[in-house]
Amino acid sequence: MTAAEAPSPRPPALAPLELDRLRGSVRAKLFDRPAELPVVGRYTLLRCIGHGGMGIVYAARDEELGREVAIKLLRTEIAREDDRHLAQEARALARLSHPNVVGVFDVGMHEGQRFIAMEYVAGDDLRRWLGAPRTLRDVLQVFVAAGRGLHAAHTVGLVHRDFKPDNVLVGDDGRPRVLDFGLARPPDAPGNARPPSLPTGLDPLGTALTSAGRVLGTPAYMAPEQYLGEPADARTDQFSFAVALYQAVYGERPFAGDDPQTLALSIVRGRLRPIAPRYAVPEWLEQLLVRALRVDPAQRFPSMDALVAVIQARLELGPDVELDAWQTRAMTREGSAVGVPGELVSSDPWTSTGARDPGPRLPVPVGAAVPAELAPPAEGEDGAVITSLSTRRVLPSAITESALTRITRELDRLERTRGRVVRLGTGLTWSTAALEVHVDLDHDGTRILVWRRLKWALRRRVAWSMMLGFFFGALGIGVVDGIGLLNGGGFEIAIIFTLLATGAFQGLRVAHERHARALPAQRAHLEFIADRILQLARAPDPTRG
Amino acid sequence: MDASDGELLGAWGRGDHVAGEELFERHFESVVRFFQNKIDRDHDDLIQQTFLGCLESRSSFRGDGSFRAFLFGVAHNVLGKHLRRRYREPAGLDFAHVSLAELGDSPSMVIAADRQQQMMLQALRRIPIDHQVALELHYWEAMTAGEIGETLDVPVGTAKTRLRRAKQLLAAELSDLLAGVIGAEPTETRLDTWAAGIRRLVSR
Repeated sequence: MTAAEAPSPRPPALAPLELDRLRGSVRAKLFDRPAELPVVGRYTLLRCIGHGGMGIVYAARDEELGREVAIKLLRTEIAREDDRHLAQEARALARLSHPNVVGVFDVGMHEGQRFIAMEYVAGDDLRRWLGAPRTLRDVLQVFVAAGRGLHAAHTVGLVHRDFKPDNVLVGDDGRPRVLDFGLARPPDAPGNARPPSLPTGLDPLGTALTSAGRVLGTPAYMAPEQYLGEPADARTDQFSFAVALYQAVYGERPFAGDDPQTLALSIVRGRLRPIAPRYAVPEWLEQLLVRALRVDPAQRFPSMDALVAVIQARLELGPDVELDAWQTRAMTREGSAVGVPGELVSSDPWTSTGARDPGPRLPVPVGAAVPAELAPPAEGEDGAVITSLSTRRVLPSAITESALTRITRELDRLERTRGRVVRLGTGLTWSTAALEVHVDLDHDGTRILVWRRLKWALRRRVAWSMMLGFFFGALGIGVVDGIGLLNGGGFEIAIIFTLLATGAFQGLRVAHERHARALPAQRAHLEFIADRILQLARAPDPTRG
Repeated sequence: MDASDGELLGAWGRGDHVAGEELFERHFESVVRFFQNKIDRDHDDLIQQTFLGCLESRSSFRGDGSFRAFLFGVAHNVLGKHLRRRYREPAGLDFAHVSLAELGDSPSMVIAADRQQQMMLQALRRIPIDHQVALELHYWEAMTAGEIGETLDVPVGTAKTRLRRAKQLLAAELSDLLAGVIGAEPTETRLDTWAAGIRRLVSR
């Protein structure tokens, strides 16, 4: 057999229970006889209503209570692995009674296979529901309800970990319910989780990743912390929720990558893909999505409740052209998605939204006020050090060639060094190690981004201050030694180290303080540069008089 | 001696349900297998339609050919009708060129024994539907090129060409899938090593 000739594959196995059910069901229809349908516990399986990474779901009849239920039969490897968890989770879910969560009635075993009996919901899953044209208001209402369901689970300590449109059922009564807390576990203990290995060629939208039989999530909706193997908590669900909402609003996934690896990279780096929305997505909604999609969980909304409250407040403002008139684009499967992976690995700060990078990539019109509750926490609020500053300007008109030349010359002069100039189509990038200026010509005007990198300045400052602190520490040792305190063996070493460490630590603190003190001046200078560029861009062309 | 499939079909046509059920039992699993790596739901209907289709068009089964070729021919038509209705493209859907993966269909019920088999099933869904059908019948139902030709209503020569082409396409898809799994080795070595692994599994 040559390499070009594929090996003969075995036929795949059929799920025995599904085979029984199919046989019974089709035979009954073909030969006009009562159906012999398989029975699981006290439930008779009627028809297959779905399947996924976790197992097959059937519509079934509860023979004792005479009602219709949904039975999920878990794949054996999952049930074995997590049996104890599963029972716990079923108990937790059974306690949780919420209109937006699919109710769990019962768990049991059938021939070595775990099953869960759940509320049967006649309706469609959210993916299909979104396939029809909907107004933005309809979409938001459904997501608000689903978000409430998630929040209810969070309050009893459950994390969903695989939230996606397929896991929300929109009942024929219009009420959405979150389904499949199949992966829901109490928030992870640190060190428990492991990063998933990523097989290639998976459908990132549909396939749930498993590790040792445990489902880890669906690549397109997984949060950075899940990819990094860090503990998942309520904010992980918030991220997945935001991916689903983004997709529903924009008709595209927020992160590029058709194979899991590329996708993982975009998600972990927080690179939202450039997008031209087909309709005017409200500013506040953009901001909300950007915040909920932050790489750092601490920068997202504190809870699902907080996020839902923002949307709800907007919905309650009454009729709104933006919400009521626009039809969201029907959600598409993205086999033929646009994203070209190569495009996104550029180091253009315009498209990067890393933890400390200039922030949202979604176009932010100048002067548009961001409501306080939507703004991400201010840079450095949580005590972290700011390593970059950025500012933007938008010019409603295009910019001339000669203006571009004047701008680069002025930048060279201001920074006292020649920057590297790269022409990108009609735009231009001027950069040095410390400053980057991007001038992009759009159909609707000129966008200017000025981005100052403070990392090196900070590093220099820290190194200096720490050395200084170290030096004073050493000086302190000399003094202590001089007055003869250091005679007692191990004690001596301890004191020396303490003094040195204190010195270095003080140095670090001083450096950070000085860095923070210098920020306003840096910021002012940055604004000055941006204004200067704007001035030059607006100025009439001198050569034409 | 057991009645032949053709005799059972004839008897079922005359109203003999016992014969019909025997025929159903004989081929039920093959028909399930035919649909399972292609369509993700509504299997009940597709299987029922296939058997009813056999019953209705029994006059066109001459009895000299293979019953299975006839059966899968009907199943193939049922599949085509289903896909065209589902994707609302009565004319535009060309099964010689479009694959199920491109249609965005996900498989159901398939329990892959391991990673290798999962990849194989995935690769099969990534080649054009006509080629996928030919290969699956060849591998899983052990059908000859002649029978496959009858099923797909093409001359033997065409069926042979299609099988050969399908294997090439499958190998290409497999090495694509494999490329991400095993890192640095060149393609041929990888596929060969992998193929050897599969062969060992099969012969065991």
